[in-house]
Amino acid sequence: MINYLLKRLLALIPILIIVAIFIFFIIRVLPGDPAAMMLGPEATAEDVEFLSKQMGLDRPIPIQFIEWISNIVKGDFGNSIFFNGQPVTKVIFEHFGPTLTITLISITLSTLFGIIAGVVAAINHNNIFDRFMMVIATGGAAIPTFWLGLMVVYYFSINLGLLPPTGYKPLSEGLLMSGRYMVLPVLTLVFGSFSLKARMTRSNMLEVLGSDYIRTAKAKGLSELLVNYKHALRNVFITLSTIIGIGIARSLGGSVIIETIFNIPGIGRLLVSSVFSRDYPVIQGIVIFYTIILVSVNLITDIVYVLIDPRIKY
Amino acid sequence: MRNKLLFFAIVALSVILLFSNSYAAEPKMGGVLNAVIDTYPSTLDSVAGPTTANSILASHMFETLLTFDDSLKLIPMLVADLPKISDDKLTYTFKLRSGVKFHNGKELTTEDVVASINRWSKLNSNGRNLFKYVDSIKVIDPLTFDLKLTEPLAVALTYLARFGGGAYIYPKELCEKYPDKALEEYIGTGPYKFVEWKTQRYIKMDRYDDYMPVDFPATGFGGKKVAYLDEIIWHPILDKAVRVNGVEGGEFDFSDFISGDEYARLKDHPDIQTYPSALRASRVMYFNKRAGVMTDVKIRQAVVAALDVEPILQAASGDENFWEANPGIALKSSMWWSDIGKEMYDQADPEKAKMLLKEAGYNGDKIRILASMGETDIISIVVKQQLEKAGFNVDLQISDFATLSDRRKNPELWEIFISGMTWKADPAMLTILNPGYPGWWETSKFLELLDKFQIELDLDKRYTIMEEIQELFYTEFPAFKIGDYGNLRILNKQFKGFANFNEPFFWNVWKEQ
Repeated sequence: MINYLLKRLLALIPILIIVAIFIFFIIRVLPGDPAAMMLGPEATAEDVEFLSKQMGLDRPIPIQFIEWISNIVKGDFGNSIFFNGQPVTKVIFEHFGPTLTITLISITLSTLFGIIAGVVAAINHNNIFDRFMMVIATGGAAIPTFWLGLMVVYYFSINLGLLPPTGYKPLSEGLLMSGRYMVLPVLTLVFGSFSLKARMTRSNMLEVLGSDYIRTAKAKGLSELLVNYKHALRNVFITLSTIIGIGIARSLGGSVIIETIFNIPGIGRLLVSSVFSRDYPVIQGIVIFYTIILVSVNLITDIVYVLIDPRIKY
Repeated sequence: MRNKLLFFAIVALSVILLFSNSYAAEPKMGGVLNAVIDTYPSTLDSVAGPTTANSILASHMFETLLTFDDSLKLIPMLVADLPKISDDKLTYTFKLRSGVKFHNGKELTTEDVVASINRWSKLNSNGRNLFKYVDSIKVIDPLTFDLKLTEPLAVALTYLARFGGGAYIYPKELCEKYPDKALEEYIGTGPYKFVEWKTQRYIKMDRYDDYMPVDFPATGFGGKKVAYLDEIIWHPILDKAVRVNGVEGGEFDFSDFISGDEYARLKDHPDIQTYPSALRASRVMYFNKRAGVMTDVKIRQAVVAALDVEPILQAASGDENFWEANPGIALKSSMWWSDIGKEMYDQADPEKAKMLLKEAGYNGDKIRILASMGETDIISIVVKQQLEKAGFNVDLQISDFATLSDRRKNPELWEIFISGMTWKADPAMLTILNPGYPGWWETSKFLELLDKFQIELDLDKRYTIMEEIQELFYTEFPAFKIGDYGNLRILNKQFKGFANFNEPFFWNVWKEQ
């Protein structure tokens, strides 16, 4: 197992090199110039060229690449062109915090509700509760996130005045204060993402509940509780772990829609705005960072498989 | 007895009401204002990044030597009076106000001003443009300096005073620390001082207690500025709907650039005051005169003949309080306005356009129109429909602004691009009259007039030259100014004293507690 983990971690190095080369050159193929973004639409081409030269953006691309790579090895991802010259690592970590917080809360809640809904629906297969849960789950998948987000703001914030409409307060400003700002974005995210977990749980549970060993367990006289939750549910977790792992990896990339609607300074919005403003160092930094996150989450998911099913060996 | 009691009760009540009303009308110190801006500022140093958003923030913390009053005439800000101009119109003598302090306590002297102006002359296009005419800057004493030009220039002081990209004054030490890039520390002389900047979250400014205002009443961007508010927190929010939600939901107190379509709904809101801004900018179609079919003046004339401006302006700005058809290059509210050439404006005559195309021998060449996402994409869709009706073959290319700015610098890639143009204190600074701006109005006739306009100091003569420029504008058709527009601003009714000038600012604004 240790050897397997070490091999996976070492494999990260060539992945990062390939990603670094790819992202560095691909974003420079895009038309546009960070200098033009800084100067605004009324700048002349001469003004843009002047600033570009000052920022060193007119140097040959291979030279810029070598400089960037050699700095990365020292842990220096450079400074943001657009955001006040701040270090890229600082910009990324400042924005990753809100995304991480909201992701962890919404993944936890959506997994919890998804499992409960799926298990209960499977156990009560084809009755009114099963159908009701599936309608809710389908609604969660079908309703566009941006619409749902604007609606919850409209009703809970503007109409009822219960919760703030936008914004983010970190946990350091108090649990209650932070919580008030997270309710609406988390609610929107959970409603959208619990449906897949509920439907997968339900379908896997139904499959497992029909298998021979479950019939044997029931024949042995084990209680419904033991059969469903100890024997059946555990076998559903393998598939569920995959979905949760993918969900975490995707969510940690940030949801631009949620972050825009609720004005959350998360990493999704940062990436999109950096692409629009051609802030090359930040784009490169986020992609490298996200590659590390993705590989790490996949690795953790593989470890979880072993913990759930001891038959799996690497 | 009863009547006497009633009489005294009425008098007492009247006195109480009188004083309570007076008390309510008096500005109060204190409070925090949460203001929304519509984009992420790239820097708070307007010299290095002279965009509108950067400059709105910068204007609260930094000041220029001069600024503009409410009719856009020059007034002193850091100088004691408007500079003395020598008889030959070449030497400007500036005297600074004494006792003005930077936020770090350092007193402002000419060494800070000269360092700031020199830095501005390298970093900023306004500075570089002015310095083409500058012979020397000479310090006379710690509060006095001379700026000597090589030839008379009407716009010299306007360059220095510009709101966006003017010569903002910083301490000499900062200018030396950041000679060729944007400041990363913010120390100015303005009524507010920098506290904190969390990227994509907020920028905080606090009142500067030792601010020294000028001694004449507030007017335009200048006059007496009082920092009533303890703190201003600026929140960048890109989405219009989120901006409105934020103010309606009470999270923020102010937002600019709200859709004009919201005006009807919000104007009677119990908690929100709506402020339609004065018309402050124009929608412009720039024609490529360096390459392609638009080098033919007849084809440009055909484009202009085909256009019906009202549907275009309405599509972009919505409610008619926020746009105006205007044949003049200048805003109607400006002293430079003229309606010369108005018969060529808003013709809405596709038949005439077809005839002109035939005379020009137009054979269906693609007219590539560049527009960026936001409001110009909506304009471009309406323009496309109108031009196609007149027989043009239109290829509409909508992209993000970064792509558009890259493409428009290559004359082989477009025929028309659509953009906004903010009004400036002097028409010589308008992009529509800038020969170097994409579109490239570079005819000898125009360049000659522009030179005359920039050099001539007499206002009446300048106005006449401006009329000649406008006449040429409607003969050569270098571009087409579709019309003017403003925007909707909303402010929580608790805040009073908002000037609603060309750009928003919050000095002299107070919060009713």
